[in-house]
Amino acid sequence: MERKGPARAIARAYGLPVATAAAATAIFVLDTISDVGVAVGILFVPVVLMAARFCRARGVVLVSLGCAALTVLSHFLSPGDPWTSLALLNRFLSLTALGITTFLVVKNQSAEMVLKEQASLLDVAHDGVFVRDRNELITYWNRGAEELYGWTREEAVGKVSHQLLHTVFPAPLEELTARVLRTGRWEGELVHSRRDGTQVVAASRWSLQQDERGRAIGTLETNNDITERKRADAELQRSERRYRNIFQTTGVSIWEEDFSEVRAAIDDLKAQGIGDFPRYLAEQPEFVRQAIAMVKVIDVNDATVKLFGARSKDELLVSLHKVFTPDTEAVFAGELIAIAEGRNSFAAETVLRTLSDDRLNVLLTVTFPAEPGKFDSVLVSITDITARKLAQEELEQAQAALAHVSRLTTLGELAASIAHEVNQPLAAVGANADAALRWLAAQPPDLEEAREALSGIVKDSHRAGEIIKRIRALVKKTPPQDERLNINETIRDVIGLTRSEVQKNGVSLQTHFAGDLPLVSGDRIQLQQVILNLIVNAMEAMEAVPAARRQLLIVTEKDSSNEVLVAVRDSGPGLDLENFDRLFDAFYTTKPNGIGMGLAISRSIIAAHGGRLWTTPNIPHGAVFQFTLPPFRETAS
Amino acid sequence: MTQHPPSSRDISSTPDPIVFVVDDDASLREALGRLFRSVGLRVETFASATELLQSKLPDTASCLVLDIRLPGVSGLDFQAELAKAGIHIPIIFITGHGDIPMSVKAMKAGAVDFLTKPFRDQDMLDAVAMAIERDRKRREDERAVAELRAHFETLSPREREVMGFVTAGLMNKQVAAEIGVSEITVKIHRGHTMKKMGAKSLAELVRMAEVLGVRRTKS
Repeated sequence: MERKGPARAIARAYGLPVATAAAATAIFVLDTISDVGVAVGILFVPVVLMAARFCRARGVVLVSLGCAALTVLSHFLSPGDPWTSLALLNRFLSLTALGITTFLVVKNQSAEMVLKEQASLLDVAHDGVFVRDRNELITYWNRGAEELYGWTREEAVGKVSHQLLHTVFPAPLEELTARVLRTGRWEGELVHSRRDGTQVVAASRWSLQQDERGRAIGTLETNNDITERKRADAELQRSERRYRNIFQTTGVSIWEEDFSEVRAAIDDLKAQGIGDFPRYLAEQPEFVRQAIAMVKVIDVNDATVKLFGARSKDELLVSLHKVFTPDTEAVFAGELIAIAEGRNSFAAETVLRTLSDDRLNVLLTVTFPAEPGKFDSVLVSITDITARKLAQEELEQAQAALAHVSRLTTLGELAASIAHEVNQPLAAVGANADAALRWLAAQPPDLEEAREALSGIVKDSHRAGEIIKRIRALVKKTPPQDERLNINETIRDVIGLTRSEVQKNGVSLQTHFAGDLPLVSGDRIQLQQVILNLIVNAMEAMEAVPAARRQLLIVTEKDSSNEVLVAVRDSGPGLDLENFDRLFDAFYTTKPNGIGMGLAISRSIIAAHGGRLWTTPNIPHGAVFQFTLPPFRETAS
Repeated sequence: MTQHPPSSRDISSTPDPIVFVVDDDASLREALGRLFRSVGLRVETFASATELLQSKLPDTASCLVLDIRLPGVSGLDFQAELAKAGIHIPIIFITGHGDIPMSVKAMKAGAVDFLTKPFRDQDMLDAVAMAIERDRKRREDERAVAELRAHFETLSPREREVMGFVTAGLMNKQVAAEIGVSEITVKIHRGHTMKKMGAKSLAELVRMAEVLGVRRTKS
């Protein structure tokens, strides 16, 4: 830990052996020159102790043997008779002291080794480990503790541990200490302060340290930093609480359902090689019913209890059959397909029933877990759209009624011209009938001429009938139909009704119809109403310009996105840019007798058909009203 | 089928009356054609005024049945155009609308009748008969005037002068004084004039002078 200068390191590495060797030499010289009866050899004992400071056991033994050899050598070199009993006893005592010392040193050294190894093991441990004695003074402080608390070993050793760490104990320290003394260990959470003042939540384990005689000499305290874990736990708990709170109190009905059996059944089918689930479910409707039975309702929230008229949630924590209707079964099949195709969510409108058997129009939304193993908790939310549906239906009815009135108004404006359209074939019928009578009355009767006249009558009465039929269709109040339509034919029918009005106004009407148009889907009457409205508007606008300049062009084409585009171009005075934006507003009108509903209704009709109605200036003058309609698509059943 | 093909324009030499029908509605056009043929009238049908103008009109009693609302030139405009070109064919208008201001305008411009669709066939036939009669009468009048003019061309300058003064109501003596000849000479010129013009009385000669516009006003 602490840094040492190189000189000091060298001194430490070589100083002691040199000093030891010098001491050994000095003792040998002294022993040799002194009288053989003087036991100087006993002084080799400190040399062995010095050697123990830098040598391992084997080294210590070698040094000791060397010292013994020197003792024996100087015995014979020393002046005096080496064989006196006193001299021999002295040598014997010296060698014995040397031997015992060596034995003790070696034994002690191996015990120290174990301790050191243990300490280095503790250093390797990530936990902050320290030992405190009976007076709470720190006697050991591992590297983990240095890292955890910021205090170095040198700084920590000798300090009172709970003062150094400002420990917050869950119970008075005396109580904890008493328990450790009694049971030998304690575990619990502590709050320590680091050197920088920040707090650490530690999972602390205390174990009592005893000497051989079982007396308490200190406590080993291991501290594991659980600050992060505690925070994550708290965060998780908070989020869990929040989620529970939302689940319980939200106005949307939420069901927690266990789909694991359903998922397993679907995976089974997949393993059997079934890929086309829509077809499989269509062929095996009983699988859908089985799957419904496999779903377990785990929990529902308060909104669900209220929505389904249950007394408590337990009434709903049963089979789904209780709230399903035949309509829901079809939707559930869709849900199964969504699971099979690995989609992460599913939403559909459907009908459920409450426990008191009332029908509920709902929007059902399911979010599937990303992992297959988590299908034991699938959240299904149910929004009650009964009121919305009802309001929507009422709105649609009101709109239809308004559209009908507006249609009648437009037809009323055209009444004279439409009467003319009917009178035309009626006049022809009359003339043909009279001619036929005369040819038959002639002498001899001209049957060929009479036949011609009669077939003329047939043709014209059909023609009159067709016109009446078209008008009746426009006048009749029928619920909107959804049929496949050729837009060119639809427009031609309307032109047939307005032809006379167009002529009366001296307007030249031209059509440019594209031949390759896709069919559109929608209500013929409503679309005809829009076209009629645009034609009548255009004619009225053109009253402001001289008759020779009144040109009306109706164009149909396919636009870049394969939609059908219908444009009605007039050569009138064009649109007032100032009121451009209000043009499609209800009750906005530029005509003295208009009610201002025509364009508003037309726009909502086109919008309901998935199209768009807008206007632009015509070049060089006039206005273009155009709308798009999406092509008819075979809807997936 | 006995209907005359519209392309046959070789009808100028025949004396039978002809009805021309102009209507853009093909079936009504055909029906009217049948109706008129069934009463023994010759019929020519046209889809537009332009088509009619492009064909040569026969010199025979005829009338025109015209839809007042036609694409392009309207019926009223066409009526005015014909008058400007000196074609005095009687016109019967037909319309889908009981359009009073328009019918007044048409009648003022000389239309024979104005029928609203669907019309009664007898009304149409009556109107056509009346129109053809009117045309025949007009043609006769024109022919008579042409005859008178031819007779007038045979008079000498002096005889024409005498005719002008005599029909203005001057006595022979007064005429003699006016042109500076004897009363006897005036009498002779007057006799020749009466003879050449085919007038049986002075009153008749006065009427002829009136038609020809050669009657002198008393000054």
